[in-house]
Amino acid sequence: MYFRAYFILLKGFVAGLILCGWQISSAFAFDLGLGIAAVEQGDDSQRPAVVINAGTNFYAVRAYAYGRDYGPVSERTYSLSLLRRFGILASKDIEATLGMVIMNEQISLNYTSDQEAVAEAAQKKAISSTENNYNIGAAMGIYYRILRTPLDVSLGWEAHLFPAGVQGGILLSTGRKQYLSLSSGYTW
Amino acid sequence: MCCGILTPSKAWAKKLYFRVGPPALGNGGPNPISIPPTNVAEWEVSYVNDAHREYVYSISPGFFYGFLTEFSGGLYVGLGPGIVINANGVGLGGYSSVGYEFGCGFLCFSLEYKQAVGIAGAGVISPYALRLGFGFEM
Repeated sequence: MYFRAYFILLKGFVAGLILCGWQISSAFAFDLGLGIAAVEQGDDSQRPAVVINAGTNFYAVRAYAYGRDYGPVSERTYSLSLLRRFGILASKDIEATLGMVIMNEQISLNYTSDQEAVAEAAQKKAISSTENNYNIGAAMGIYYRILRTPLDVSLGWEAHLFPAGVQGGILLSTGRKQYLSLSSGYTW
Repeated sequence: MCCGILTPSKAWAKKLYFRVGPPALGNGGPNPISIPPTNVAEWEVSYVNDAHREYVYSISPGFFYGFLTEFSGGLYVGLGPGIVINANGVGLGGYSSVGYEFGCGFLCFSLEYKQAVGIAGAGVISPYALRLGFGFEM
């Protein structure tokens, strides 16, 4: 299960390394990239994820996806962050982003016909279903460009912060997903 | 790509900040802030000098020395190295923060999100905290 996920992530990273495009404008910059990330969800354990990013001089969009399968249960998390970019520390290689994120945590039960038959024989039910849980939060990130050639490589540290319940805004309790990423792409 | 029309603010005075808010210690997420905020783990003291350098003291995420970039309108971003502390260990690492300063008069109010990443014996630790507080010029 994890070997398949890592293989998919490796293929995606290699695809990002060979991206190419055309010149749009010398005054307007556009970048597109693909990479891998380690996701932490409050327990200090890291999970692999894939990241796709696109951006202009002042704005960026980043999408993350990760998940796992165990038995008939599939967990998938998809997030899309819309970000404003700005330079910090008077550096051309370090930038910060601030914006919002939309997340979907999807849980699916996928029973095979054999599993359904076994459940039916035990006078139980095995019903395939999918549940989607959406949330909106704040996103902030720090990025460092370690290669500045036609092929760009950058390290990212992004956090998605969500209020924990209705009282989260008053009592400052939150849920967070942290992404430590390595991505590559191209800037026109 | 260094970009943005947000204007870094050059004028800055020495300030001392007191903030409170529940930290996430790596064991599932932060609990709601205690009322009144008497839990020492929720406190943070930071000092910012007129060279935009920040010294942070807190039980979690830890102790840091950072570099601030302040923007006109009250927004600021911090980044720097330090000692990271959470329920799973203590180790060397760094922090980043984004905050908003508002309502400045005798005091300036501050809402800040601070996160840290470090290497401890148990592996990578990643505490964070959302804190609200005030600061005053020294």
